[in-house]
Formats: sequence, structure tokens, C-alpha cells
Amino acid sequence: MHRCRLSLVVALSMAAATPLLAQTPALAPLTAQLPGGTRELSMANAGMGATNASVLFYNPAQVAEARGTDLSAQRYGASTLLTTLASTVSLGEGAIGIGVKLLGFSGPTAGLGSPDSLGANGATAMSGFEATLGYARELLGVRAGLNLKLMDQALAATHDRRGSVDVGLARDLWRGVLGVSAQNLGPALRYGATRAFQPTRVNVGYTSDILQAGPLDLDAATSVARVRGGDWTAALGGEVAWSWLEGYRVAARAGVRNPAAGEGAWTAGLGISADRLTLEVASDSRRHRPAAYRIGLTIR
Amino acid sequence: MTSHSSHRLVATLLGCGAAILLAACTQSLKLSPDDSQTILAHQRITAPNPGEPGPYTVKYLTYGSGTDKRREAFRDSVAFRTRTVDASPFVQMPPSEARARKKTWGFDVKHLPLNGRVWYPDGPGPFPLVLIVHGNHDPGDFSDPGYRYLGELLASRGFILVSLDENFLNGNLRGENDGRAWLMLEHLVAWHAFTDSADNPFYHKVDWDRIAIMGHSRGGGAVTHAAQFNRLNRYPDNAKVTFDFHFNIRAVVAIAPVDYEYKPAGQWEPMENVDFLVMHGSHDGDVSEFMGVRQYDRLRFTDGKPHFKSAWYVYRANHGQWNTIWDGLDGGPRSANRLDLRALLSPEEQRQFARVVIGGFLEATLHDRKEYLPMFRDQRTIGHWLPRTMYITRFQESSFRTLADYDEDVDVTTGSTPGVAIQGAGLATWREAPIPLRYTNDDQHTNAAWLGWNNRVAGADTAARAQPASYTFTVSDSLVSAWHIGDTSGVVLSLAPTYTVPPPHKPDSAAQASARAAGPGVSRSRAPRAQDDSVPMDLTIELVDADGHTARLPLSVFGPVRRPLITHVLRRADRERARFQNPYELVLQTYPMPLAAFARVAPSFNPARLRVIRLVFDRTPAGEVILDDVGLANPDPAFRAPPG
Repeated sequence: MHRCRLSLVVALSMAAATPLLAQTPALAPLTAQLPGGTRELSMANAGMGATNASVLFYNPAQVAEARGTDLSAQRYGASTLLTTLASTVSLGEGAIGIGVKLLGFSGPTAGLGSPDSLGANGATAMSGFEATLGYARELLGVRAGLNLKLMDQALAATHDRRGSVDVGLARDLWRGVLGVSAQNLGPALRYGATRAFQPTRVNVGYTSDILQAGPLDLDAATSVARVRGGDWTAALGGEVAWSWLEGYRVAARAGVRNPAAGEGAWTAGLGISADRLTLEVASDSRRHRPAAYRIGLTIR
Repeated sequence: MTSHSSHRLVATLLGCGAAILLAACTQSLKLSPDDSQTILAHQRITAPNPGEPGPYTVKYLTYGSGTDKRREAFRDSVAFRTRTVDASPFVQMPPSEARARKKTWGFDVKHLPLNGRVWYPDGPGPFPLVLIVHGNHDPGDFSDPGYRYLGELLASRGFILVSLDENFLNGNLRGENDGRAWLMLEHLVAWHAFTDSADNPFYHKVDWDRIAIMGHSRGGGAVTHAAQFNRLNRYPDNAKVTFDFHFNIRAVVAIAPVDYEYKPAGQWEPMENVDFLVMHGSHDGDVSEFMGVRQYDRLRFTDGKPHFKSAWYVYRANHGQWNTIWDGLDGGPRSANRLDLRALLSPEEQRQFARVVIGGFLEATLHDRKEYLPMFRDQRTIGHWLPRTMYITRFQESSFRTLADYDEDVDVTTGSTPGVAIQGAGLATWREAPIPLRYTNDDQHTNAAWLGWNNRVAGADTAARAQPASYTFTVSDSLVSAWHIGDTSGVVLSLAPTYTVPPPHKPDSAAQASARAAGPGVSRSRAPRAQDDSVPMDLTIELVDADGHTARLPLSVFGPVRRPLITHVLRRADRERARFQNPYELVLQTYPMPLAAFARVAPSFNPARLRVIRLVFDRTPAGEVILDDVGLANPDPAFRAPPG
């Protein structure tokens, strides 16, 4: 029965990804539109129920379950680099998380930059910065979380900075976690006469608990999301892991998604864990551009 | 990203991954040198091997509720039905857990079934009745069929063996071992009804004067509680719950038991007046310390009747192989990545040990086959029956009188009985302290004397030796007389060497002056090299009578003297170090030493006038031993081995 329900969630996720025609407004900052974690990215960026620290960038409610620190860096080309840091720690009956995203890129001479433009070298130097402070705890059997964010994007000589909020809920359901979040709720950024809306995003996702299949651990995650002015997108990722010695583990991951602008359909990745350290790599396929690679280090 | 940089990144990551994989090496297999070829070279008992099948044809049936939705054996194929019992005073759990369990099993703790598998001899009886209960394990991987090998053996030898189903108490419960124990006694109540019922296959087939209970893991803890509950009229934790069991439980067997799950009235319960056997594997990946030695130590013989207790520490045995369902993976199906399984005895070897020792114990205690008693006093009497590995054994029988158990006070010069004085001479270490168990911050709940010596003299002359260190008990005339010590008596002590080597004696001032006079050219700064651990340790037992006649024998005449057996349970050395205090368990070996053996080597020595028992540390230049339970005994001659 649970499998049937899970299948239904996955099917609905994929069906909901039917592209909608929409007039895309100008969105900024760019950091808020890019993947937050290496493991999540390798599973099609579906991370609503994850328990690593990078879940801060997907669903603040899961900060209550996450422990450790994640570092990552993703190159989109010779002149574009995204780096992230996320860390969570328990606090009283809940947990707090802090996160930072830094983006340096050279974009086209006109416009605010968009995910599909990353890697297209341009003459205009741009940078993005995003700082997040989150708190989550369980209330009445449901985990609830709130992120307070400060987001900044500089375009050549101008920049703007705005506050923003993420909210999220999560609860254990069947043999996994169901999560829902709304991100980037805040005022538009202004660059002269240009008004750029925050990329407000609504996510719903389900992450399964680890299932044991002989010597292997299986894990799956799915999510559907919609960004302001954009289409519904869906993602489905999976992980197969094997531990041959207590504390050591290798994991292979892959994901398929109904891609948003500039994204490719596939992601993949590997992880190698040694006790508290996990080294991860993810490949992020991109439409009309070479794949972007991301490396990450998780410290538990 | 360019192709070149991509390749460089991938190469870097592969390098990091390879470094991580290389770091993930299992520690090398470390075992103590095996001396079993020597220790177990002889067979002194000539009776049939109690681990081999006996003359009876074995029959088998199951009994139970008849309604068990998960167990076909206790639903459709029961030979007769049993009532349910209310275990709610003993087993508590949160409501959500209770709901989940009721959904899983179809009943709650107020309606627990009495399910059992019975192997029994085809004969008129009456036969001794033996109950065995499993411990905690995956509730869905039913544990009760795992003792079939014991059931078939014991039934063929004229015992009824019942393996109880308590799987419904398995899983994540804590502190429920009183429930396991109580349920065991409720089975005995049910059996009483079986044997009184003319239409039951066991009608008049049980010898109610000869009952034994056995348990494994938590079941091994439960049997000691059951032995106590059997004597009590009320439940210690709620006196409104009354007991009325009072079965003639003669013998208790604990297989790799726990000793922490439940403490009646918050106390470490004393066990009294039963014969007791406990066994534990050195490479137990679940209960990774010999907790049963505490049960052994707490057992007291107070009723003046003949009893004995025996403990076996089995090198390279694990937790699960005494149950064919549990078998080799003590931490569950995935634990091969955690546990070092290379050292383990084969399952058949481990189970053959259980057949021999449990079979011999029950033959001795329930069938009064005294010819098996010597195997518990001295493992070397059954060298051909035991699987080839190393064993450390404890033994005590009810005639034992304590000279010193180091638990009575903090005066290291007095024994535990008036009339006993203790002296040390030349000792580098002399203290009384608890004996640790392997887990960090756990111990055996008993004190012992820690005695270290180094007969070498520090300095240039590496051959220089001081007077050998010694440790002496002096016993009074009146004590020897009151305890009727004589030719058939014996000295008994339990001892274990450690790996500690104290520093050598400091030379006295005259020796130092002499060394200075010898002039330069001799290094005085280098300490003698620490002794090689592979050299067997030994010491001399010296007895002196009131007339000054002395008799001396090496301790090794009376049993193996070994340094602790090196044990690595986990594959990762760092995890092993974090979890355990030592890479070994400090298990004391009991040495029963007949006074007649001393009189044979020194005919002028008169055992009836014994005054001094001295441990002389003259056979190993330096070392340390732990000493406990020193006493005198007048054992039943049946415990002595037949002449070899």
C-alpha cells in the first residue's frame, strides 16, 4: 500500500511538470536560483527531506533533523564559481542552521543574469552573496522551520541587497519524510529602473528512509517546484550505497528532472564516506552547455 | 569547464577517494598463542561423552495458544493448547509501542501466549524437565527453534527440553527481563498442569524434583531472576503481585548472559542454593564482556546441601552460534562490516562445546551422574571432548570456605575470616581493587588483590636478582580445626596474570656502592628489557604446616596459567579502543589444589596442621597477578578426576 502511495506521489510529481507558458519576470538574486548541496544536486536537486546541512537551502524545517557542516563548490565555466557553506547544530528543543552562498561570474553585458546564462562568459563582472540563518523545531508532530536571509547581487558598479524569508514544514510519513517549503519571500531588488523580483519558489517533496536491500542501502527523493513566473518542475533522484567496513561507505546517485531553463535532464554523483567525512561529487547536466561539476565535503 | 580541467578534477577526486579507501583497512587478526594442544592433551573422565546422543528415541511436539497469527508452529500444529497470561506488571512500554506490538502479534502483554517446542525421550519417565529461553533478537527472526541441537541431544539422554517462545518480548524493549523470567515460571506452572492431566502426552512424565532452567543472552539474565522469583512470595518491585511457584529448580544455566537489564528492587540480586553453569565467548559481538561472572560471584550456597558453580570463558566463541538461528552475525545481518569474524570457532565447534558442557552439567545435576563432576573442577579432564581452543574456568563447590575474597574491608593485611592474616614481601604492587570488565567503566563487582613483582635488581648487573617476592596467608589453628582441614582438603584460589610488568627493584645502597667501586665501563642506566609475553607465567604455591614442614608445587600443576587472551571483536582498531578498556577480558582461572598433592611431594608436610599458604613469585622474573576467592575446601571426592 505504501509503495502504491509513493508511486502515486512520484507520478503526480512528473505529471505536474508539464511546461506552462508564462512570461518570465526578471529575477534576482541568482544565488537563490542555484542548487544548494552536492548530494541533493546529484539526485536531481530533490532535497526536501534530506538530513545533511545543505537542506537549509531547500526546506528550513528539516534543519531540525540535520547535523553537520557541508561545503561545496560548483564551476559553471572558466569564470563562474558558486561556493556554499551550510552548518546546523542543535539548540534547545530545535536546531539552528547557518548558510552562505557566494557566486562570482562574468555575465552578458545586459540583463541580471540567469541560471541558463552561467558559463556564458561576458564582459560584465557580477557577484552574488546570500547569508541564511535558520531555526527549526518540532511542534505537534510536525517540524517547522524559518530562514531569515540577506541576499545581495552586484552588477558591475551597482548592487542591491534585500532581506528574505523561507518557511517550511516537514513530517515523517510512511517510511520517509514529506516536506513543503516556500522560499525567497521578500521585496524585489532594484537596479536603477529595473525591478527584479526575488525568485519565490514553492516546493513539495518526499524523501524515503533508507531501505536495506541485501548489502545495499537504497534511498530516493522526489520533489515538484514552481518558481515565480516559471513552470512547474519535477525531480526524482535515487542513491545506492554500500558499506564494506563500519564507518566507510560509497554511494552512487542519479537523478532525472523536468528541467527548468538552462538545466539538463540528468544529474549524477558519487560519495565516499570515512567516518565523519564525506567527499562528494556531482555532475549537473545543462542544456546547450557542458555539464557543470560540483564537489562537496560533508563533516558530521 | 574545459576537458583538461575536468580530467584534472576527476583525477584529484579519484586520488582522494583512493586515499579514503586505503585508510579503511581492517586491523590484522590478533590472537593469543594457542596452548590447547598441551592443555587438552589428555582425557581423564572415562564415562561416555555427554555431548553425544544417548539411548532414547527423540520425540518432538509444540504446544501453545493455538491462535498465534505469526507462528504456524504454535497455531495449527500444537499438540495441546495453553492459556494466556497477563505480564503487564512486569513488561511496560509506551502506548504507541503497545499498539504496534498488538498489531504485529495479535495480542498484548495482558494476553501473552505460553508457546513452547518440546524435545522429549520416548519412554515412560519420569524425566527431568529443562526449560531454555532465548534472548533479545530480531522479533521476526524467531529464536526458539535455534536450540534444537540441544533439544535433540538432551532428549536422547533422558531429559525433556522445552524451548520457550518469547519472541514477542524481543525488539526495542528495555528492563523487561523480569517479564521474561516470570513467563518462564508460568511455563512451569503450565507444565504442572500437563503432567496432572491424564489426556496430556506428558502425564506423569516429569520428575518434579529435577528441574533446570537455561537462558541465552537476556534469557541468561532472566534465569537468575527466575531462580529468585521461584523462592519469593511477592514481586520485589510491586508487592501487590504475589508469587507461588516454589518449583524444585536444581540447576541454572546462563549462556552469554546479560547482567544489567533488570535489578529486582534496584539491587544486584543474590542467587542461592542452585547448581549454576555460565559460559561466555571471548569474541561475543553483542554482549562483549563476561557479565555472567558477576552472576557466578553472587551465587551463595547457604543451605548446607551439595552444590557447585562453574564458569567457562571460551576463547574465539561468539554470542550467536549457541543458537542456530542467530549464528555468526552478532550485530545483525549487516554486522559483517563491523565485526571481525575471522577469529571465530566454527558454529559446529561452538555448539559441540555447548553439548559437552551443558550435557555434562545436566547429567551431573539432574541425573546425579557424579562421574561428570571433575570436568567442572578441571577442564583438563575432558581434553578429548572439548573443541580445540582455550578455556578459562571458574569453579566453586559448597564446601568452599573463604580465607580472602577482598570484599569485606579495606585492610589489606586481613582476610575475610577472623584468624586469617596476610603479608606481602618484596612486592612491587600490592593493592586491593575491583576487577574490570571490558566495557569502559564496568567491572566484575568484586575486589581482588593485585600483586606485582619484579625480582630483578636495577643496575648494571642484569643477572642480579632480589629475594623472590611472596604473598602469604597465615591461618590460625582454630580455623583449620574448625573447618576440618585434612588429607582430603584442598586449597582453592582464583588468579589471572596481567600484562603489567613492574619496574625492577632499586638496588640497596651497599649494592650501589659496590657498583660504583667497579668503576666506569658499565652502563648503569639501561633497564632490563621487558620480558617476552610469550614466556608462560608460573609461580610456586608453598604450604607450611605448624611444625615448619614445607611443601612446594608450581601453580601450573593445577591448571593453565595464562596471560589474558587477546580479543579483538571489531574490525576497526580505533572503534575497539574507544569501546573497550582492554584488548582482553580479565577472567580469573580457579585452581583447586588438593593438600594430598603437596603431601606427596613433601611427605613430612601434615595437611591437618596447615598454617601458611604462600604464593612465591619465583618462576617468572616479573609480572602481576590478580588474586581472588582464596579458601579451603573439603570437596566431595567425586570432583577429583580419575587417575590418569
